[in-house]
Amino acid sequence: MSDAAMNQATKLYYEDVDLGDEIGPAIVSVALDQVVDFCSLWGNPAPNRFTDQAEAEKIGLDGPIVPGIMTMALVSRVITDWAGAGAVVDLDLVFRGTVPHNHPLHVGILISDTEQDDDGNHVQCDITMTGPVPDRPYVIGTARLNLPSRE
Amino acid sequence: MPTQIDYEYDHSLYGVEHESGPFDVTREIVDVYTRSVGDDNPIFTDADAARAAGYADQVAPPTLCALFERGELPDIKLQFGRRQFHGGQRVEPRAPIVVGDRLTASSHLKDVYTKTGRSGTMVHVVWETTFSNQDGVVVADVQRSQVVRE
Repeated sequence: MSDAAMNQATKLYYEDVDLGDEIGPAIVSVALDQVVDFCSLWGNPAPNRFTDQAEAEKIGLDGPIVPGIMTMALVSRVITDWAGAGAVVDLDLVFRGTVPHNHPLHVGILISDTEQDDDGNHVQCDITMTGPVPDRPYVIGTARLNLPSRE
Repeated sequence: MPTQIDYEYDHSLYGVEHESGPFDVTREIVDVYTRSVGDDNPIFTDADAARAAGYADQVAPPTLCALFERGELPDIKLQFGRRQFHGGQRVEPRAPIVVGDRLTASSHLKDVYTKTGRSGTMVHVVWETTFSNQDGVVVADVQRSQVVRE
C-alpha cells in the first residue's frame, strides 16, 4: 500500500485524540444542484419539498430543505475527512430541525470517551450540526470510531 | 408529564422480516453521492486509490446504504396525525461496501412509541434494516426513525 493511499484510509490514530478534544466546526453548505443530484439517487426526483419552493410551501416549510439522509452524509463526510475512510463503526443522529439550502452548517465533534479493549481502540464522539443559532442545533447525535494504534 | 394518546397501527408487522433488493452499488451511484456531498476522499472517488489501500474497488461512503432503505418499508397503517418527517437515522457499518457489490436488505419493525415535547405529542416509528452483500456478509445495520406529528 502506498503512503498516500494509506493516509486517505487511515488519517488518524488512537494516540492522536484525547477526551475533551473538540474538532471543528467544519463548515459545509448545500446548494440546490447538489440536493437535486442526491434526490435522484433515492427515487425522489425533482420537484419535491427538497428541491422546489412551491412544493415546500405546500407542507408548511419556508423553503426547500436538505433531506435527512443527505444531512447524515454530510456529517459522515466531515468525520471521514478527519478520521479516515474506515473509521466509523456507528453514527446515530437525531434530526431536530429543518436544514435550509445555501446556509453555512457548522459540524462540530467533541471526544466524549476513549477506550481500548480486545475489540479495538474506541473513540466516542458527540456530534452537532448548527446554523446561525448555536443553541438550536439542526442535528445532534453520537459517533463511535475504531482507530488504529501506532503501538 | 407524558400525555396518554390513542393511536392504532398494524401490530402484525412485529417479528416479520421484509426482504428487499437487490441493490446494485454502481460506480455512478457512488460518484453522484460523493459529488453531491462534496466528498473528495480518494478511497470513495478513485478505484485505484481504494485498491492501493487494500480495498477490492472504489468504496461507498459509510452512510450510502441508507439510500436503499427508503421506500422499501411496509405501511404500518398508523391511525394518528398527518404530518410526518424523518426524525433520526443510525448507520453501523460492518464491512466495506464497494462498487460492484449487490446488496439485499432485511427489515423489521423495531419499535413504535410516543414522545411529548414542546410541539406536542409525536409517534416515532423505528425500522431496523440489515444489509448483506452478494457473499452473504453483513455490511451494515441501519435504523430509521420516522416521526408523525399530531
